[in-house]
Amino acid sequence: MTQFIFTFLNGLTLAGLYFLVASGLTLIFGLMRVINLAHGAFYLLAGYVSWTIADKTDNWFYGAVAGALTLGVFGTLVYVLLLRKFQYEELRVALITLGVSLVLAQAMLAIFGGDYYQTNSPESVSFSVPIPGLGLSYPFFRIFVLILAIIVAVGLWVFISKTRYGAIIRAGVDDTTMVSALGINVQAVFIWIFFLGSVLVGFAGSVGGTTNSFGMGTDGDYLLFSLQVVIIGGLGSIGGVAIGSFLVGVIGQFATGYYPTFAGIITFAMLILILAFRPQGILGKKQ
Amino acid sequence: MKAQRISRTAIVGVVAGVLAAGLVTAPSSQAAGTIKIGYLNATIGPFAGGAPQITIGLNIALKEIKSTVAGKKIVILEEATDATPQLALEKAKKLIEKDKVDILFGPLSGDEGVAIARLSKKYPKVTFINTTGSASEATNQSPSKNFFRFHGDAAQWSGGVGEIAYKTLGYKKVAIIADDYSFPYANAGGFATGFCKAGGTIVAAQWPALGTKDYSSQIAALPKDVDAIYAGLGGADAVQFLKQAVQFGLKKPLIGGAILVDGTVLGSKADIGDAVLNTIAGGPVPDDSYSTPEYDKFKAQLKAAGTGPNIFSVLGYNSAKSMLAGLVAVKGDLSNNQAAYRKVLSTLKWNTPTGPLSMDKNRNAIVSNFIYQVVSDGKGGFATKSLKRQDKVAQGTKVFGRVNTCADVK
Repeated sequence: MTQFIFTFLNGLTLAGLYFLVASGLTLIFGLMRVINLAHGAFYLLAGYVSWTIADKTDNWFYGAVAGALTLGVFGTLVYVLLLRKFQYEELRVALITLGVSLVLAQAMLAIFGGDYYQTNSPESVSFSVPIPGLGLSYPFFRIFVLILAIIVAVGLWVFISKTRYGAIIRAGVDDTTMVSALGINVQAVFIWIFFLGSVLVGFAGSVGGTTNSFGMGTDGDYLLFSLQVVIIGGLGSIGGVAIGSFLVGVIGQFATGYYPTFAGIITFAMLILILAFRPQGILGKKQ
Repeated sequence: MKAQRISRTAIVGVVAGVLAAGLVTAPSSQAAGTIKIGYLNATIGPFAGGAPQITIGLNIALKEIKSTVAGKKIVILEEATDATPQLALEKAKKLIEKDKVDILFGPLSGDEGVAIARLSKKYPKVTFINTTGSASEATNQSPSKNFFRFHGDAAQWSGGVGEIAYKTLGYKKVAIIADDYSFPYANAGGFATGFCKAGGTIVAAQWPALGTKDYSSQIAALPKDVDAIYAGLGGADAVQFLKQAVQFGLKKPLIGGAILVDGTVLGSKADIGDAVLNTIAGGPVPDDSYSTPEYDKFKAQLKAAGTGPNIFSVLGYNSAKSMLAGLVAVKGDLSNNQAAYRKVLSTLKWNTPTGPLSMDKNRNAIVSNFIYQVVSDGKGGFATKSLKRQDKVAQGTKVFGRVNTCADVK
């Protein structure tokens, strides 16, 4: 029973982290049809930036804010300088973002070395909550991550479905040409979307770099997790990301806890089943 | 179309130029009066923290002979790996085929070592000196004639730990959590062999992948009715596991694999104190009270290099010193497919800082082994206390897989 409860809690809190990582990816894809293969590298870069700032200032929140904003600016630059011209050419976008991720990975290896890093969690949330009767305790920071994810999820949902700006985005998803014909500067909207998506992955990198260690190779892992999440949940849907994160997080943790040797096989089997029977994802629209 | 044709010609030209340059500049190292040593080190990934320590050991050994043997300069060509056999093989082939090294020094990790030992059969003209890769099968399964390991394997290191756990500390039931590859298999196998023979039981085992960054669900899955937990993890994995063991309030005593509570882990900044205190482990690094003239001198050399004894600096030095001692003995003569050099290496005997070393018929070392316990140093840090020292420990013939119950080591 102890193991069941813990594994479920782990899966749930990990789902929170996956949600933070994948929401940026799906947001950018939702409006712009840009699949950013440098998403994992963005996550890792944010981890290093927030680690550096948190280490220098001794303040976790400064690190997280710096990680999120740096990535927001960096992501926007990548979009404006490299992607905007080829936005509707999927193959080129894939190749360019792949190139960006390779360059970033090697540059980060050169600057930060091959060691693993982990940001210290803020003192105020780094205690453990004893769970009565189970003989183990649960680190509060993980619960904090889940709370953060819920706040971001609610914020995104309100933003996209309740505000005028969100209405423009949703309209843009369905018919870009018509929205521009109505006099809305879709180019500016694109820039803001890319900024927001990059801020989200930057924030995720700062948080994820605190719960788990990161280093060379982490970029690939998290790109894979986010792709898994958005493929399972359905591309371009915030609700889909929530469901995808929950499934990948919880099933992944149960697999790791109960059948560690087969953990990889179990999570990818889930992906294959989804692709075979519902290729648009659980909440995705049929193209 | 025209532009395309030009660019194609240009590419052909560039490629031809590069090839020609390669042919002209590829030197014959013998004629140039240098000895080229290719050096593989896993500076990327889980062991990135320990890898530079091997380089420190190597540099101390090089400095002692001023990087020269009989007038020939020793040149080191280093390549980074990430503890995976794929990259180790790729980099080894690059060093051998492109850089034409005479000797290959490395690799760090167990699976890499097994792959390089197999590869060595394909390159009979190159001598391979292992640095710290400690899987048993690199030397005790169809050993390669040009592959040498100047230290023990992981099963040698944990020999005796099981008896002490059962008889002295009174642990009857133990659960295993260890990385899923050859080195922890051998390490846990050595422990379980002694522990089960003494009367202990292995009640459960978990084998997470090397490089796992979240052990929380595995910590929760460890059974509650055990006396201790054997943790065969190392490098960044060990730090992560120990940190989470503290966070999740894991109160069981630990039995360490050879690299769980190594100097590189104990020195990390993470909050691991409650988890490592009183942990016992066995390995090639002596406890803090050990003192011989050779060891004291070596400790002083390490201190000058800004570090201390740990598994990587100790094995890095012992392996490098053995490699160079052989070169000195044959005055740098690597002719006749390095026959004289290999003959010297196969029968090498010397007093290492960590005790006398000799070689067995599979070119694996017979060495001293130390079993120790982690204690507080009274200043907020850690120290190690000796429990047992064994001399002339030789490699067994067994190759271990995952040990899940005592039946696996019968």
